[in-house]
Amino acid sequence: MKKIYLIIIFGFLYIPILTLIALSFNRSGLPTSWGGFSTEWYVQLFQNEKIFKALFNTVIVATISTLIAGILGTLLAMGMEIKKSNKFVEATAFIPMIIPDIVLAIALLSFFTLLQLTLGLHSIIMSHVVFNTAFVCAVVRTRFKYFDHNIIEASYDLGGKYTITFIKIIFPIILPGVIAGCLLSFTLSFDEFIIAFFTAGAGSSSTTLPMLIYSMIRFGVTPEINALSTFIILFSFIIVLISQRSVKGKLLI
Amino acid sequence: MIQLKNISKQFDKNYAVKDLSLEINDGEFFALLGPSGCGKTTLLRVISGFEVADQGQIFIDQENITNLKPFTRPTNLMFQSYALFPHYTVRKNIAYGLERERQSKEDIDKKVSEIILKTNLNGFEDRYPEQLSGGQKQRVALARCLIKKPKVLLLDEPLTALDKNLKEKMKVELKNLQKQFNITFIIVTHDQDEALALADRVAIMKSGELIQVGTPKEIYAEPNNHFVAEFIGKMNFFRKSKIDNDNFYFLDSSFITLPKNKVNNPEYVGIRPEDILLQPNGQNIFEFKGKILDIIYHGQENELIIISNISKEPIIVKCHKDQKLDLNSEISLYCENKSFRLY
Amino acid sequence: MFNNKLVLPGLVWISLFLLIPCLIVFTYSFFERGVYGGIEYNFNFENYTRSFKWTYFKILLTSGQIAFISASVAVFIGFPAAYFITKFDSKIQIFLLFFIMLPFWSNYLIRTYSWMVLLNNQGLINNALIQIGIIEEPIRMLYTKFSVVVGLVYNYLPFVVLSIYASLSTMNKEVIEASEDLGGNFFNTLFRIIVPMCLPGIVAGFIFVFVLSIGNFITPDLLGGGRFLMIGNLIYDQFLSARDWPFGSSLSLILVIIMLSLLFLQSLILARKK
Repeated sequence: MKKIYLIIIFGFLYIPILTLIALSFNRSGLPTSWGGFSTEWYVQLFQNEKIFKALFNTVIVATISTLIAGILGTLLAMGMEIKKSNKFVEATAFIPMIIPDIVLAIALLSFFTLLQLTLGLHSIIMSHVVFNTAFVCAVVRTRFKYFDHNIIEASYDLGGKYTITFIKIIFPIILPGVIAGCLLSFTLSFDEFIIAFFTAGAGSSSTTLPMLIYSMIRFGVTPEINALSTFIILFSFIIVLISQRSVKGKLLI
Repeated sequence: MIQLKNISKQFDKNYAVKDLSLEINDGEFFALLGPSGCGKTTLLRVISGFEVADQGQIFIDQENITNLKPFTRPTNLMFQSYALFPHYTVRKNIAYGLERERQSKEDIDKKVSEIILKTNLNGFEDRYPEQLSGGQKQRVALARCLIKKPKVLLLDEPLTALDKNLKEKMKVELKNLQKQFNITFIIVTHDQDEALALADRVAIMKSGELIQVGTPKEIYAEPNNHFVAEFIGKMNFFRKSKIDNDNFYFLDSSFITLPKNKVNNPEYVGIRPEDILLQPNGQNIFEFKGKILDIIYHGQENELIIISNISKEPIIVKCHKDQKLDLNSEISLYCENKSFRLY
Repeated sequence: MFNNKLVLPGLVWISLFLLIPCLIVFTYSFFERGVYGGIEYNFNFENYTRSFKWTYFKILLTSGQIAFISASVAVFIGFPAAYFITKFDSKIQIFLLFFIMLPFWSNYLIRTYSWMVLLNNQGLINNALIQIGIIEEPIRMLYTKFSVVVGLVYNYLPFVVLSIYASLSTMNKEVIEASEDLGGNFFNTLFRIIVPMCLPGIVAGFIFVFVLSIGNFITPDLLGGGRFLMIGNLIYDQFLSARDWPFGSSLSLILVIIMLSLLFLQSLILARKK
């Protein structure tokens, strides 16, 4: 009984994904008929400049926002765990994770418009840092649960001043959390659509991959999109597998 | 020599330590003893630099260290939880303090190896803290501090977490290490057995203040107030029913003669269980009768719980294990007048 | 001893790029749309009264309805899944959970798109059914409330399973055995013992799906056919086409209030549980 039910559930979860993968190799490109195995759509995909430009933009956005958020989030987590934090700090660190993304998107648009800021990749990056910081902070904080806070004082007692204590004692212990947080942040940023959409402004130079995918789905479905989807699915699966492997030993203490 | 002058520390309006002054001699094994919340841990943290006193000064060898941060003080603290660095081996944990002093690698390696031998940690140098037993962790924590040759080593409840046998072993080890390194040790504990067994001198604290300071013998034999008398060892207290210039009267109107230098209007007399005997012995004997309510077995010695005429409260009396006694039997008890202390 | 200057950079950034923008939206909601799409600064509650007009209120109700159904279905399907997973050997459990969570990590748009392919009139499911001969004409599945619910359940199911699993796995197995020993049959044990004990996980999962569904934009947009099915679509439209930012702001505020109320409710339920 348990096996049957779980097989159905896994079927529910994976059939849509497998369908897309299968379609990407379908010569006819349509779900109505099987036109034979073909990698034609992948070839077309690789010739699509717009997609590569969007991919490049997305990587830039994800990388830079993760770098900034990694630092801000780790500092935030340290501040909250090493000293007592108050309700305001807790709430501020929590809100970005629960606010509906459309509300954040329009709020940021209103804000940037009011400041008469020109929009572009930079405004997307600034916006992404907001929720990425909150997520990095949350993940790094979990690392502090396994932390005997006395070791910080022990380090001072033995002669280690603040910076040395951070470099030699605190950071090595929270590092797995920082890495996990950054991977999460990168993934969230990479996949994020609606905030990017509202804060990218006009102009194709600031189109991210999710934005491009959205317009492809909404306004012109070509079978290329199945190939692109397959790629993205496999790419994210690989990232998850890598992060599991590399962080596994250290995180599961 | 460590001098604490008028140290006060408040948390939110409450005084954790109140106007406390104390002198501790070089090479002493000193204990701060008291119940939870008496301020002993706060005092320890003020001495080691993790709390800053609101008022008062601290001098070590005439040098005013009151405003020094922990990294520059000539003190080291052994934490109750040991606080070993989980990502470092035993060797690296111990070496950490010397590395901060920028000593050369050869020097450090040599000193680390020496102290590993002295603390019986050989064989464990390359282990990580999670692979160590409680006793081993404690030795690493100690070694880590001792290697820095501080003027004062502070220990926060060092034996509390250990089981009985390990406790006894560690008591001996601590005493030995202290003598070997000739460093002033200050331990904080709520366990009087620990304090009396280890320390050269003990300071009893209550509610942020010093109640009594003395050698273990002094404190035990001559507790100077009710609190200390009750806190250290066991004490039977008898409330007065009446008192006049010469005598202290018990419940059944029997009395003892007060010494000439009595405390003004004592409320109680106290007597240690071991000073109440089953046979008359000594001078100026006071005799009373009672009934055995219960016998508590402790192995070598037993305790008798006795209900008597002279007090409403039951009295504790010690007796040897071979003494033949029956429950509910009547018994006569004797003590020397001078064994009574007045409060 | 570290000063709390550590939290400052992060707090400043979030305050600047979230709190202040939200404050702006809050303020806008009391103003009016200007003639050319700008903002007229006269303070009133027009936007809020307008949102209670049937055209708009209907959307609010539909959003709530869809969110509620999606959350219920997700919990209903997810609970047995989590329960059965706990019946396996612990090594296999980790393996199963990993694969349950894996789809969650791929792109949201693509996951939603895959259902467009499946539910389409010319899509896989209709094709398969016609080929097998169960039906003759395609069933309209896409661009309905049904497809939106399917999309939402699909996207958030992994989290629900994880949440309920977390509660179940901390439950004491002996309690179940005790109940069976005292004569409880399967359903008895289930409803009187197990469900109440893992309520935090169930409630967390339910509210997670509800909150994320009610404010969702992508799923109703792609699977609902671009009509103004849910609040998310309406807000999107107000900011892009209708250019009535004040009205869109008031709708956003209403959404946030609903969300906060739910989270507050959740904390009350969990507090009572303790």
